[in-house]
Amino acid sequence: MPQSAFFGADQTPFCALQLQTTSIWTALGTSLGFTAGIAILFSLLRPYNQAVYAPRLKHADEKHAPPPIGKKIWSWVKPLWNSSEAEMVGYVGMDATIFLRFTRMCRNIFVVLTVLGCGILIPINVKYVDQATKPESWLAVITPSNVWGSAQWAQVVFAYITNLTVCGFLWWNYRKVLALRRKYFESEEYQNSLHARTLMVCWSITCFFSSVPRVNHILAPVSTLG
Amino acid sequence: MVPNSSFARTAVSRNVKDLPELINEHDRAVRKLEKVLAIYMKNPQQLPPARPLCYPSKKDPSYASYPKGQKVDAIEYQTQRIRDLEVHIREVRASVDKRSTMSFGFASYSDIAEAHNIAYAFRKKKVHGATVRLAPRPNDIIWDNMSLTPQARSWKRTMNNLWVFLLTLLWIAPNAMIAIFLVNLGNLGLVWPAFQRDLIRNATVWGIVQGIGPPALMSLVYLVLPIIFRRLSIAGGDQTKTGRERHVLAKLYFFFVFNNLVVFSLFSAIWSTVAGVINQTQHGVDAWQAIIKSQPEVALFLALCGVSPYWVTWLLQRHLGVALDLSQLWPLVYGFFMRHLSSPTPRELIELTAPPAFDYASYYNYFLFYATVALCFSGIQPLVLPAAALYFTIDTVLRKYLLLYVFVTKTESGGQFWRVLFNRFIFSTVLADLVFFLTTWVRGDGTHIQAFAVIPLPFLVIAFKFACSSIFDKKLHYYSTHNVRKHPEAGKESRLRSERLASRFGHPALYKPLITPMVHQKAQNMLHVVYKGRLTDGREAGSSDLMSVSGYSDTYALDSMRAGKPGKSAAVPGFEFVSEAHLDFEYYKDRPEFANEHGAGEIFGTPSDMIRPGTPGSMFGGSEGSRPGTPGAAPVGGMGAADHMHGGAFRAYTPPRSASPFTPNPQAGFLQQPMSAADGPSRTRSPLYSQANNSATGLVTSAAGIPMSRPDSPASMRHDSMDTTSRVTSPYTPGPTVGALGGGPQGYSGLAQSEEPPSGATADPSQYDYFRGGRQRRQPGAGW
Repeated sequence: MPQSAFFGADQTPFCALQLQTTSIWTALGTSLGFTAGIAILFSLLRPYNQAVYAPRLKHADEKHAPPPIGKKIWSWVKPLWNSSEAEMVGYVGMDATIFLRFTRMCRNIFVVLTVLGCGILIPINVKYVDQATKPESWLAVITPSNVWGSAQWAQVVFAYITNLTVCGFLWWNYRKVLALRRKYFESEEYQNSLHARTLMVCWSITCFFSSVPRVNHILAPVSTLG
Repeated sequence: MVPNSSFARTAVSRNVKDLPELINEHDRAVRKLEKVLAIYMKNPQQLPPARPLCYPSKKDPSYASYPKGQKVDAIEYQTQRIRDLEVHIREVRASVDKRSTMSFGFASYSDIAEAHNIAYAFRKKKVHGATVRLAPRPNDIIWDNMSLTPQARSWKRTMNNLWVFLLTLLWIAPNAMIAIFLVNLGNLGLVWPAFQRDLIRNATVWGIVQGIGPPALMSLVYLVLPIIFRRLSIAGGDQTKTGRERHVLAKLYFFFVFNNLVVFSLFSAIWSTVAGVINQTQHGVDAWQAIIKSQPEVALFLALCGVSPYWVTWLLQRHLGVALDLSQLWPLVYGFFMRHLSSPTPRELIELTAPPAFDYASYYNYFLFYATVALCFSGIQPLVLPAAALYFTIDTVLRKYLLLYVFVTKTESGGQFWRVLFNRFIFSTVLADLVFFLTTWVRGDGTHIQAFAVIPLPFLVIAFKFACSSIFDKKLHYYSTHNVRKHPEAGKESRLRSERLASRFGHPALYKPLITPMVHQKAQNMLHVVYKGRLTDGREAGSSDLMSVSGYSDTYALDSMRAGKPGKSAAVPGFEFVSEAHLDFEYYKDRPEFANEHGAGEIFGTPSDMIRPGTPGSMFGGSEGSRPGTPGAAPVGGMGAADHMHGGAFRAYTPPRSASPFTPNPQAGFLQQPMSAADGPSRTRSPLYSQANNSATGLVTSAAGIPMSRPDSPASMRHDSMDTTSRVTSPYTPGPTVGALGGGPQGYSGLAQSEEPPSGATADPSQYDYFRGGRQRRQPGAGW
């Protein structure tokens, strides 16, 4: 008995959500509201809790310190606006800079795709929906689930647009990352470090003893093996 | 292929035997002792009646001598254990032998281009059985895994992948259960009639549970997963920490996409299709026919359409994660509980105030996952696109603040995550193309012409990936790639003396200073009551106060014995007392055990492997390689700096100046560090603990604690060296935390070596010639 109930149970566990198209508005409203609330709370608390909210500022020496922030509530926004990427490498290092660049790339990709995707797909899906099987909720109407035939060319066009956009942004950012990395290679820190000019040599243990002098001869003929 | 005119050094790594484990044991024992003391002496005026007990550790060699199952006095036992471990560690360090080597080594060159040229030339082939690669940063190396043979490593990696795969498969069932029963409790009610009745009765309560439960559960799993994968990866044989992070990211992404995207979205469709097929085959229809008849592709498509609103709402709620990060809510709550509800040790409190490290793998995984979800559902539910755009917009702003002001990067990789991210993005594009194909196949024209139009896309994307790879990767990874064979003269720059290779790339177990138990200062007065007995260790009473009176071999009496003020204080040596006002990371930035975890080299200090090109010879020209077994060898540590008493190297005694044309030599810092710690020979902390735990201080020999009985008396040598050294005029500068090499003038053992403060002209501690005795001075760069 339970088995057929199991099989026969509604197989789309999200049917409840599907009907609740208002859930999207709710989610949007609550999350944006909550985020704004936390941001305001943060702005209020930040000037008085440097240990928690700006430990880097507290512990860094002058060479590495991030730009100073004022005590006003909104003064944390200004340094974010003003620091360029080149400065960021100096403040936070390569890994963090590339993290931020990746985030920005994602944002740009999805902003472009929003404009193009929603601009192309939604009107076409709404216009060409099959009137016979038109679903109740507008959420389902904008999906292609009830659009048949040549209206799907919009999908094809959008597929090409998506791929082109993503690849374009990836290419652009690859170039930027390469430029950042070359700049990092030329930086004082890298040029003066030892690991930049060191090679790591790993042997498989069997031929170790005979090959060490030979490898040494190839890699460092002038020196003696230490 | 010979770098014929370059000046290169090679060094093979030494076998450290079981030192790393011993040091870990020591760390654990110290922390346990600290915890026990913190709890027991939480209120020093009212000590609890019963002394704390603990079981003897199984790793204790004398474990068998304790009666089974019986607890021993914790304070006594841990202190004893710590002392035993220190002695043992010292012995092992002394016995590390030059002849006993591991199967890997390092070769450094004078110019970067040359090293990279060689690495590039040998990237695909082996040099007499050895693989040659660019070296990672010294603090990036996972030493335990470096010594694995290639076979062992590939076996470990296979096992690791197997575990991840198993974990992924194992999670399918709970994932599905959550998807069916928790996301919609009505389904649970269908199969469990009793619950159904309760559900109807208390609809609101269960509604709340349904709203909160599944996301909370999923979030918990999302939090725990990176930890599990990281542990697995450590066992999986990764050689560098940044490499491990990249692998963790890859595995996390695979897990998330497979389980949380594919299975979660398609489970219902797959389930119903399979159920239908089973049903059909039970009625005698051929399986393949049944599959075709059930139209799985339509089911899949409809399932995707049906699940898309969930993903939209889910993406909309991701902002909460960023906001919570910004508010630092978790650290605040955790810190509150730590401070007020448990009995925190000073070490824990200091770590609470340090800037936290940023977990790149987790965040990259989340971003990649969001991007994958958004791309895959973009054709089906266009609203995911604005949701994702909104999330990333908010995230760029807030994350910038967090990275700039709150988080530090624990191990800097120089941006090597990019390739992993790029590849995963390409993968998600291909996945999205598959979804487009499905959509156009199911809902397109009967001839499926739209679907065929979409087919070239995945191949184009993959071709794009290979194109980018061939164009960019080389330049991204290698500084220069001239073929040395063809252009032997290319890429050479002015010759530099290469710096102490084995010292920078030495195994930290050989020189890492051991931590001292830290105790709250409020407990100071009562500690000698609590810590019964053993105020002397049977050593002569006449030995100086430098001698550890608590039996710790390498710590010193807390109070100095100044000339004219004899007598010991009531302080209990061997422990470090931390006052309430000093329970902040600010005061412990120069301690390696704290600094290395929280941004040394990044926001303060200098990276551990900086060299200063142009100095006449290496800073530590002296005892190179390892001479642990050589009697009367160059004294540990200090001698290296003695080399600089010769010409040109007086810079060694000057503090790092940012105005200098070269990078301020971090090594210069160390010479002042121990001098500043306290007057003369006595220090409130052992000089060991004011060193940086990095390769720069890491002579392979530096911890070879040969009891340094100086053959020459310090007096005579001092006279000698006093004449030749410049006066140290500069005071101690905070910041670069390169401590003395090895154990300071007393070597590791701390046995007194006629230690008396210099009389006469150099009463000023800042001018104390710390590195007296220049017995084995070498010409700078005189060789390894």
